[in-house]
Amino acid sequence: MPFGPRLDRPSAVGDEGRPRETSLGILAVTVVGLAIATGVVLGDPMSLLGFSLITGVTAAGVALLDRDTLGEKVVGHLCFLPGAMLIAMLVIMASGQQTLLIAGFVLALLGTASAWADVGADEPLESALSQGILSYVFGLCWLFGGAIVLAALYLCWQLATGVSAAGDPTAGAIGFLVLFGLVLGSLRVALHGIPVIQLMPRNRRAAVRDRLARSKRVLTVAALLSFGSGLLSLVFLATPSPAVGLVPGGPVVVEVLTSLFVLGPLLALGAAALLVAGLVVGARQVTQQFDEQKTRTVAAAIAGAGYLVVLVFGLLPQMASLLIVAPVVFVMFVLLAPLAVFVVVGLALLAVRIDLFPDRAGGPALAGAGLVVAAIGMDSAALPAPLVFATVAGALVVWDAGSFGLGITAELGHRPVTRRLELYHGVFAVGIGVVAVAGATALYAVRTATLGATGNTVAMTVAVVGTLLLGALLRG
Amino acid sequence: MRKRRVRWTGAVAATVVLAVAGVWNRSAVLVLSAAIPLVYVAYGTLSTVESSVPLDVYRDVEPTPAPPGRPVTVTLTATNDGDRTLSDLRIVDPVPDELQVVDGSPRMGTTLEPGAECTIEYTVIARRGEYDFERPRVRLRSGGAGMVATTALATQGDDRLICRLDADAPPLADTGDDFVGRLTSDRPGRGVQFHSTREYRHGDAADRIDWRQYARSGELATVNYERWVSTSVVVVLDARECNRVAAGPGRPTAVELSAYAAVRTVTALLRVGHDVGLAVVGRNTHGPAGLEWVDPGSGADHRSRILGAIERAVDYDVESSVDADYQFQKVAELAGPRSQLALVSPLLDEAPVQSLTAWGALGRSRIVLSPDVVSATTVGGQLDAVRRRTRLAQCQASGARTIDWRRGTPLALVLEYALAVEAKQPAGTAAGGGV
Repeated sequence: MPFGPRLDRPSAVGDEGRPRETSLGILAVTVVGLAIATGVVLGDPMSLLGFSLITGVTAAGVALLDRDTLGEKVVGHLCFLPGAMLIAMLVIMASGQQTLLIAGFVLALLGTASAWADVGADEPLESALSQGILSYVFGLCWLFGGAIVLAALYLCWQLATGVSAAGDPTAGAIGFLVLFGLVLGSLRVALHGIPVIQLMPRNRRAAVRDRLARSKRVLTVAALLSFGSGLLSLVFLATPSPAVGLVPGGPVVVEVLTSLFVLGPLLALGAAALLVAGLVVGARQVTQQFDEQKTRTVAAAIAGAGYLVVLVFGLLPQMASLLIVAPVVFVMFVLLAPLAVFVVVGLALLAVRIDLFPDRAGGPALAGAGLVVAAIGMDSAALPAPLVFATVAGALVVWDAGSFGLGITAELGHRPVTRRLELYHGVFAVGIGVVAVAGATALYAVRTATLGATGNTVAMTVAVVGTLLLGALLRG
Repeated sequence: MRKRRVRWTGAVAATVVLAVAGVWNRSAVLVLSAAIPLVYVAYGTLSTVESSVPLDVYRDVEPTPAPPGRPVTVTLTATNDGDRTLSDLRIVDPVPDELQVVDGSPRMGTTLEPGAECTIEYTVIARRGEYDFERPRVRLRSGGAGMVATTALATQGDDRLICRLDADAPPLADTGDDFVGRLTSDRPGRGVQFHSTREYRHGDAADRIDWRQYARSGELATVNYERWVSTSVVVVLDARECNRVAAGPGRPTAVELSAYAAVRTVTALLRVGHDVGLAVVGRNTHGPAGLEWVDPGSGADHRSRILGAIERAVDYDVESSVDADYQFQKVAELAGPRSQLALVSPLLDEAPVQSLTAWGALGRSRIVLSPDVVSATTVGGQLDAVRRRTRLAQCQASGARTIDWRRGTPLALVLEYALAVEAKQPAGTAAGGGV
């Protein structure tokens, strides 16, 4: 494996046995063939296939979220939520007349990818939903936490520059005390995080432990004293008393202490202490043996940070340089689009739970439904009638082939040689589709020749009622 | 039994959606499209299967009877005797629960034209007993997969796998060569291989006179050959409870394999004229020290008695306290000083090794035949394998001859090789070398 987790384990092929390989192959060829045909009619053969990469990545993300290891889960997070958001964004950005058409093909491609990755079932969807929400919450935490840290850094910087530039020695002394208290506090936190005792030789650990405890106490007291005295000394600023100015040599000392040569190293020391402590704590967390729950949490936390990194360093500069959307709209999209994704996944999970889809047939069902939606979209976009008929027939072929292979593994084991069986069934399904499309096209041609382009309401009503009656009689 | 499956509910839903969308859009294209799913629904509804499946099924089980541990190939051939293509045919040959399929699959799904045949081939490992194969289950689907017919078909050919301890052991009378034993003695006498010459004595047979020497020197001399003698061998079968383990599910236990090895050993020794006795350690019988004991003897009836005792040892599954160490000691006492002891044990613990050492201290000739039942696919298994090999080395170091019957090697080959090596030993090594 050159890089990253393998995506073919456990996939529909691996988990459900080889038979589905042929069935899903027929499914994929049908969907891709229809997408290319529609693209040709629209003027760009690959226009719809561009979505396949994102839908594939999204389905792979759902599959990876259902696995156990930390790395796979993190990659799953980074594939799932951003992929789903990107799909939603691209569908929304599509031109109004083709929205339904594109949405249908996106659903079909998503269904195809889900069938291959075997994620159209209860468990993977639930796992993706819960972990996706968790990573979203962590993303928000990172966002707000990061904002708070940035604000604190900004305040410190302002304080330091204010102190060094202050003409009043009392204000300079107060600022120095506060900063000194903060730096001592940072050192205290760093001592708590860094495994000083563990890094010592065994024979010196007892002595170091005592010294460390003393140091922590001293640092705590000193930090509190410094910070507290600084805050209390704020009173002097409200009075006309010159305070430090009364002490002989005080202003000189304060001037030295508040110079950038002293404050700079002091602040650098505090920042370095905090950074080292953060790195040590992070390394300790990452290298621990996780249970399942902790793995999920840590993966979501890492993914949340990943979202922020991608957002800040990847998307924002691009969007800003292109001036595509207003910042407010962008922020609203980033905050609300995941919620919309969760609603859609939740609805899919509900559909699986109430058995709207047959067991494990979520992928083929989604692909078929997508093609039906695409057919309606094609009609709305006034695409040729044979293409609409072919898309509807394709939906049936997709469903037939996709659901046919499901039972074979249960009956014949994991490695039966059934390609011939699958192909035989698939050829019949396609053949019936071809005959049905040819018949419908012929009927449509006759109708157009005799009645013209405009429809007859009575005839249409009779046709619809007849179709529905026939459907009720056959019932599937 | 035929059953109809509902597969096209989604197609009916698609029809409704397309029809409603057609009315909404006032689109004749969509209304016409709504009829397309119904074509599939009609196809699924109208395509049917017959309840009687026109298949001719033949099953071949090879070899049967088979000894324990032997891979047995089961071949099931189904021929379409009808005049229609069976578009979706699925066959499952029910393997008896006690047997484990180690290669191939007893299941198949295919499309079968009229007159065509398909073959299922799989391999199981034989275990002692008789196993009946049930009728193969056949499932046939209609073209639209909307109807399913399931039936169990009668088969021609074999419907039973027989696994016996003496499955490939030839009867004594058929292959005996009328020689008394294969052991060579350092005492000269009648035989085949030249030993020495001595002065002619009155009454020596004419075919033993060294006529060449008589032609050279004019003096009569008699040729001595290495004498072939028979000996008495007691086969000790280690059938203790701790040995009733197998290398994996559906495989014969160590006791079964040891019993099979004991039968083959007994048969081989009886064929070449030795007197053979049997001691079964691990049972609690009315014999001495609870041993199942058969005195050394020869002949077909004697072999049957030994075989019966071994069968009982394999079937014995009563939990009882047995003092195995005492039984091992008692074997040496019962066998007597002139008998050789052939221990058949998987060597899964130290008791057989200690007993062999004790027998060696008593000056008995010993041989160990050890079937390998340790699976080395896990770390624990590898550790057990190392321990077993160490025990074999300990046995060898104590002066016993050891024969390691590895899995996958036919026992007949192992024994043939061991006996061939023994036959090539020079005279005088029999007493110390074993069989």
